[in-house]
Amino acid sequence: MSLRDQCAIVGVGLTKLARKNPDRSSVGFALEGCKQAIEDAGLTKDDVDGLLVVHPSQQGERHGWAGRMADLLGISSDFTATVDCGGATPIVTVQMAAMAIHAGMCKTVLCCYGWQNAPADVPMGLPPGFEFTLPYGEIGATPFMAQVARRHMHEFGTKSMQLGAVAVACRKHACLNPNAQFFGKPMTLEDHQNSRWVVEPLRLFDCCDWTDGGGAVVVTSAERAQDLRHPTVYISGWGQAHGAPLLRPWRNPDSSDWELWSRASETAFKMAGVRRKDVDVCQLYDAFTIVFLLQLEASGFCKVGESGPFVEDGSVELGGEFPCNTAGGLLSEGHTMGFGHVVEAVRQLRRACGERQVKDAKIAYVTGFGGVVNEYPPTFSFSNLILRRE
Amino acid sequence: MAGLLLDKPVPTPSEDSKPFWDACRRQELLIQRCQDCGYFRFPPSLLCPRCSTTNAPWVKASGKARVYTFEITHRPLYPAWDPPYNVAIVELEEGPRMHTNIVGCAIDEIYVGMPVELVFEKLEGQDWYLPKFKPTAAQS
Repeated sequence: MSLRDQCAIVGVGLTKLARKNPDRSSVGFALEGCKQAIEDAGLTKDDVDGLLVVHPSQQGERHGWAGRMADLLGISSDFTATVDCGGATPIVTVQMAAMAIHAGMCKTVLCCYGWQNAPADVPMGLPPGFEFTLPYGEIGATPFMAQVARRHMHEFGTKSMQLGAVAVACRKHACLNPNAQFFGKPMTLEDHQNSRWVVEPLRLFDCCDWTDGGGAVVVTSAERAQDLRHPTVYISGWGQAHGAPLLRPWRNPDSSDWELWSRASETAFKMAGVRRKDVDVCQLYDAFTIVFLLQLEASGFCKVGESGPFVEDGSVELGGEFPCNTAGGLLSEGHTMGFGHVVEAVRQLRRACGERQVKDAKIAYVTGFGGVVNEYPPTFSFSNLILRRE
Repeated sequence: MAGLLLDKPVPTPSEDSKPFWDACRRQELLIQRCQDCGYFRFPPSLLCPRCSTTNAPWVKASGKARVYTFEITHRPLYPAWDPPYNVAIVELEEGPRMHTNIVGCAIDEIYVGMPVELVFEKLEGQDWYLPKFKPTAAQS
């Protein structure tokens, strides 16, 4: 039986987002997001019987997040896991919540995230296992995404100005979002082009800043959602794909290295029973501008290699043909590992976004994208959700 | 983060990758070749990701490769390296791709598709050898 529209997102929460917020631990941020989301749903914590936590991988030596979180929230959880697919994880937790509810394990699931970049109680360090990248001086997501960007530029002629168009669109939207990290800090394409190289071919404004913050959503059955306070936001379709396309050219010898993810979007649109042209608003993962371009291609909104021209001329800005990342995205709202994208999609469908509202938004498409790129082979996880309201 | 990784880190082999790094000390680049389907695999692993069999003797790679992509790090996350420097992903003649540094040329001479050949570099003061690549000598 299809899970299309069987579950709904009924509560959302997103904390204050800032480059540095030393007032909260990762757990603290997640708890704050959970409290907001439960209250937003008009529920109490005693209504929650499942909990999924996005693994704060930077603090990877700490285990058992979800069980501890359940206790700190004071909930009796019948279904709990800490989930780790990098930036694909927030969406994956929503998918898992719907599956667990459908399976009858629990009725209402909190999916949450919290991130303190400089945790006072955890010394920063490098885990082992980076033997094939670190000795050459490559560590972190930025240089690996620079490798991806260079290859994309080589194969398809993608230009830095096109990456800049993504950054400018996100910033424009963040300036309409008072909770965004870059609210009140407009950016032009010229600013982007003048920003320094971080890892060439990526400039400073191609990359996310650090963000301390947290968020949560509440998932329950569509039936139960009818009795709650907000217009029902149905979870209509989803997909996932995982692999190491840049390092594993053999995986599908008949296709380009870039097509790994397209099957996951086919799955999601088929499950939801909607067409790409029915989508009113998108929240596409954008830890780096190049990642946003990959999401457009992976989702089938343009052909592989054609995402650069697609974003020129403001098409992905509010008022353009294809409004994306309306809260500012990871690039300008804040790097919430994509949790902000899920929250914004729900708010758009509730039509609660004020100045940045996409008129009459009915169908939203959201993606997550996680790179685990220091260990070999460097892999990506792609996840997506199609959300719908009546 | 200051104070962390002031020295260049050495490889930290696993049980699976130890033969690879041991061979580097002999200045040989070893990769596994599946005895059943012939697939050359890297990184070292128990199973062939194409046919799932385990029998894969180590073979010596030719050392010929091409630059698949590369980046120039201007702002390293850790201070052990002097920017700007390059990190490339090269595609070996046998098929696998791996991270490396391109040596023996200026960073603005590196390009996607550039033919390169293997050279080993000893980590200063350490008994570790890293496979790196330099521009292929011109044929005369």
